[in-house]
Amino acid sequence: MKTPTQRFVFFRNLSITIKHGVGISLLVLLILIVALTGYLSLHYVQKVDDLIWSNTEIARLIYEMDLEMEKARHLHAGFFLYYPKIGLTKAHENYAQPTIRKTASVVSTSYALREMMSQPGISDALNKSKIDLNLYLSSAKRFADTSIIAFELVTKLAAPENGLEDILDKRIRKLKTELTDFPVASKLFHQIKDLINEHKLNRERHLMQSAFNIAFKLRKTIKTNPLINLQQNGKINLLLNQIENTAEQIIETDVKINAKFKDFALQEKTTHLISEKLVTLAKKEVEKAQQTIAVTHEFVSIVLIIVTLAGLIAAGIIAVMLNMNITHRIIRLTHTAKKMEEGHLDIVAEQESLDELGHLGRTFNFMAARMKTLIEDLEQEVSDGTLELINTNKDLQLEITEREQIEEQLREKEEFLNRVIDQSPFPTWISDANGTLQRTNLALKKVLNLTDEQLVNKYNILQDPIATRQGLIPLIRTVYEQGKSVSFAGKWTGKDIPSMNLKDSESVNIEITMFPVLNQQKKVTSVVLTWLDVTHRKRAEKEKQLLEQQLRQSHKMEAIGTLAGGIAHDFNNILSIMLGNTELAIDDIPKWSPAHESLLEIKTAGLRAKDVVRQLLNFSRKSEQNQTPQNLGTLIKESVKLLRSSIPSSIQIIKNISKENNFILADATQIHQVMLNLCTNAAHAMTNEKGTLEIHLTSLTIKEKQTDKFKKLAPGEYAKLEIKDSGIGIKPEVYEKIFDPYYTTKEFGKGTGMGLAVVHGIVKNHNGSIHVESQFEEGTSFTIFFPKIDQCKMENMATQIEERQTGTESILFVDDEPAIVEISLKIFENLGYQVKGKTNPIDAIKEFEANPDEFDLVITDMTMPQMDGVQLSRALKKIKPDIPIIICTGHSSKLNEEKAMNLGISAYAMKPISMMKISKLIRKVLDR
Amino acid sequence: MYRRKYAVLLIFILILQAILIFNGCEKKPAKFKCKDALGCVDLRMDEPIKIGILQALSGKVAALGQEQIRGFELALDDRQGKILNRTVTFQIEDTGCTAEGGVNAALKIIADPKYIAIFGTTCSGAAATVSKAMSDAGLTMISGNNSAAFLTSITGKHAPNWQKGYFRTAQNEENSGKAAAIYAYKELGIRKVATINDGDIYTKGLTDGFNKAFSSLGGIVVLDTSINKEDKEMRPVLTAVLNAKAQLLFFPLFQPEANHILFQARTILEFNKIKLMGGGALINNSFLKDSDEKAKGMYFVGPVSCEGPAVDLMGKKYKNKYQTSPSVFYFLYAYDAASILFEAIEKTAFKDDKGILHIGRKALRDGLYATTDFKGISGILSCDQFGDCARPKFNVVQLKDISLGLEGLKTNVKFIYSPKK
Repeated sequence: MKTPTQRFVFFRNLSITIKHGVGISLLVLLILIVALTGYLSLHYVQKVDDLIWSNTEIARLIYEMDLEMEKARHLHAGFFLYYPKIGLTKAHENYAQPTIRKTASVVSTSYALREMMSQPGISDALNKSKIDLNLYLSSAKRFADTSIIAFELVTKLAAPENGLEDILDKRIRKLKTELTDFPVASKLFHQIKDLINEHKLNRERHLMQSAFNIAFKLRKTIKTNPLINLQQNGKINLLLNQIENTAEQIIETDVKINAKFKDFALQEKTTHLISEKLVTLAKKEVEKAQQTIAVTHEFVSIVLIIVTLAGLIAAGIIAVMLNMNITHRIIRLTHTAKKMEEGHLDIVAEQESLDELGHLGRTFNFMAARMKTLIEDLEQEVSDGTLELINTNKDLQLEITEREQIEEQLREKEEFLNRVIDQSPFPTWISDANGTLQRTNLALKKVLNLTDEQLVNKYNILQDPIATRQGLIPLIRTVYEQGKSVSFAGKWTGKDIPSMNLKDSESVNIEITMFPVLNQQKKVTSVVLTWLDVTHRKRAEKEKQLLEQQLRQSHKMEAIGTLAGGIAHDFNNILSIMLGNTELAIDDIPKWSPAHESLLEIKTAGLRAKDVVRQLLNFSRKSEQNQTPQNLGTLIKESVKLLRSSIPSSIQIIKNISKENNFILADATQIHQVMLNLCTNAAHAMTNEKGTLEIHLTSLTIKEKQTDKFKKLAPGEYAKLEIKDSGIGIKPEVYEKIFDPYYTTKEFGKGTGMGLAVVHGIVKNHNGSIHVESQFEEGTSFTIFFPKIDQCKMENMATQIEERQTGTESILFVDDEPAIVEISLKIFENLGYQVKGKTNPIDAIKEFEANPDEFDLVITDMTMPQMDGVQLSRALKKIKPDIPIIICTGHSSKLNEEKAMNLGISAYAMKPISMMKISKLIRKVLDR
Repeated sequence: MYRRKYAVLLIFILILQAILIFNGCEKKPAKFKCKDALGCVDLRMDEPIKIGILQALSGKVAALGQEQIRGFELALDDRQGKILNRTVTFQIEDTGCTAEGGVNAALKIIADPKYIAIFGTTCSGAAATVSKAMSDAGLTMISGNNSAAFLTSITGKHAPNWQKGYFRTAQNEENSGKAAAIYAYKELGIRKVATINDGDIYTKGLTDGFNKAFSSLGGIVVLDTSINKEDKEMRPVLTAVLNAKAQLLFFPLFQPEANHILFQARTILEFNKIKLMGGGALINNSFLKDSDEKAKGMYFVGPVSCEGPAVDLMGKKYKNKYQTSPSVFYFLYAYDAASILFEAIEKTAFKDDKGILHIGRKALRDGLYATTDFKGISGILSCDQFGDCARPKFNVVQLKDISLGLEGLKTNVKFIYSPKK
């Protein structure tokens, strides 16, 4: 079996030029075939396109021709329709002449059409239709001819004056004149006239014939009528003959016109059929041509695909052949040459074929053989010298490696030291033995905001102006000269080191440590300096001191408050007995009695004492409050009104009250107290009783970010009350004491020392804040912030109408003070209740345990020796869990509303208890 | 090596040239050149001979038109449907028996230049317009039914509607009216007549011929009037006849107008005394069938019927082909007309070497004018310069017995008139 190489041995032996020539020729041939196919198909499609255009044009011309013909017919019909109305002349102008023009246009189009249909390429079917076109043309011409004749006939019939119908009318009128005097003849005449008129409408010949028959009778009548002479007879007969003659002509013309109409109908039929046929044919031809184009497209596409595929296959074969016979062999030859280049001179190139590549192969083989011999000789000489060189080279290589390792270790160490210095958080620099800066770290550059270019070799610490100014140079010199480490502190302002961008008021506190770097001879080679910024630490220490001072003040105030609260409790108990008995005595003693007046005085004194207690409690923030929505502006106005009379008129009071919402949740009495205390103090501060007291009430919104500015105030809406005087002011050393109770700068007897303490307590109770600003001998300003309440909350807290409420339920009252028990029993009985009193809580438990259902309510004191109110409540709840309990207390911090609710206590009341309040509270608890 | 290649190429070129030269020297067939004054109709081998047939194929006269076509078909059958071994195709068009119908139908034929002749028409009125159009187009026309004198000659001169190329085998009825007048005046003793035509050249020709002859004999034409085609109301014109005191009414009309006159006259008592005479167009089964007894006693003037073995044979052929008897004998004239036309084509056509048949238009006309003593079924035919090919011979027949039908009518001959040609 032959190998592919053997199979194409002839081709292999051809020269490369011929092989390329064959390949390219074949490709050119294929391109030519494709081009030829494309050209032929385009040519054919173009031809069919032309045919479509021609056929479309033919169809268009046919439509045009038919349309013109149709218009001509319409105009023609219009002539006959309208000439009786518009007259012959107008009808000729409007209809007859346009008819002929349109027909001429049709004829012209017919000729154009016939010419087009004679063009080459037009289908046989259309070509044959030239016959139809001839017929159309003939019909059109004939239409024109017959139209003209028809118009002439109509003119003959209907022309004014000379037309047959007018002539007939004239003759009839003449006859009428002749027959006017003869009734019988006249009657016959009218019959004739009627028949002629009827004929005029219907155009039926028999009507005219009937008229002639009547005329026959008329002739006979006039002939036999003796009243008609021969001349008249002759004249009438002549007229009758003329009428008959004209009528005959009219009939004859009618017949001719009728024939023309029939002619037109036939022509229309003929032309219509022809145009329809031609248009259908032209359309079919267009469709046929379009189909031909489609088929041609398909055919050409297939041919092109086949030719392209064949071309690709042929190109592939050519490529393979060329590849096998030229490219591959060149590649193999190149490989062989490369191998030879690499020294494989034993390799043999292809040399079988007779073409150029075969010859090249043989040349290569010859060259390789020659080179191999030469190289073998040369190699032997070189190998001996080379061995020695290799050994020397190896020794050198080892030495280089060792040195490189040492250098690497040194470099690593240096890098480590650099990283230590650079990454140190402490600003550090290193100077040489002369104090000149040599190196810095990142922290230093960051703090100073300077670069190495600005520092290294440009700064010498021994010449530093700040150190010189602060007298540190001698200390620093000891490091350089004696090799000792030193540490010292310093304070720098922005002016000292501008690059740090400090504000004028800002300064930094630093601690500096310097230590020397000594060489083996213990000589200073370098000095290292590190900083430590202690600014924050110093500030924190100062703040700590301030806080400790505030804490001490707070503890002091708390202790005073506790003391005041204890005193108030005892006072309250005493006052409760006094006021209770006084109220009972007032009820019992008639008004006319002098004792009644005395009792009222006692009550007033008791109430005044109660106010003192309340002030103490206000300060200690443990007083009972009755905070309701209040318009602060109104309260201030009321206070000012009251104060005006007590403050010397030489002091001007300037009042500025904002009209906006100033509602706060407040105890009106306490607010009055604040105003009274502050304004009185202000008036006292104006020692010469001259000056200005300014009272301003405005609003302020404190936002989240402003809470620092207004210490301890939550963000929100505040009423800002500012009371400012132009008095002597407060000395700085007494600033911290002004709110202490019983602290006063006034002379003995002029002040209690409780004024500002009470103000402070009230403000705090109202969740407000008080601030004081004063310049000695210039004046003082107190600013108070009260939280505002909104309208909605205000409405919910509408004031209630106070009314004493009564009941009939059974109450157990417990208090360790017998007098209170006694007065309370009387009060509750006055309110209608059944009351049992106990001064010992244990007795009370026993009483309750014996008859738990007997009692509807228990009221107990909070502070009792045996057990407190809470413990008693728990014991009673064990016996009867649903028993409502009210605890009364003077000031006890053990109880508040929240705590009471948690213990299951229904309510708690602050002593001294007023009848009004307790009656409402009892009712409230029992009615739940 | 290259030299050998060049030598082969040279020899190849020489051979090619030799072939071309020899081909060029070969004698080409002589191209036919038409010398006919009116041009030629050239028919390729695959093209048939085309003849247009224009007949009245609608209305009451449709039977007459149909008989003409059948006469043509029978003549063609006798030639096996071919002339000069070519098939004959014919386009049939209806003239409607009107002038306008005729001319419009003629245009359809004339439009095709391959048509060489027209066979028709039925009615003379249609023939007047067709013949003009045909003559202008250079065609030849021949009719087996037209008889109006206006189409060919009157008193030996060209009639007003004569056209070159027009021929007919039906007799010129110029003398038909004369025959009727002579019979009326001499045999029937009529002295006052009334005539009615429909304006058609056929009917007008007959009444004119009648009036002229009757007057010349000494009679009085008391009424010479017309009706319109399609008229139905005939009482007024019949009243005029009565008023004129006519003894005979000559109305050579076509159907249905003739029928209306007859039927309405029979409703007028006074018409019992007036004799009625129609034309040859009424001598057919259709009229007889429609009129029935009403036509009894009525006279008809028309061409003498054909007789003889050839006529009988043709009658049989007719019956065989169409399974019925002919309604009129005019189909014989049609047969003869077609025959002389075919013969003239055969004589004048020229077939060239390529088998193309050339028929000279004028040659064909001349061929027909040259027809002499042609033995037709209807008689010996010789075409004169006016296109009349038949010898005129008329008779007057009377319908006595309706039951005898058309044959009874034709045989009841009262008068024969054969003028000298």
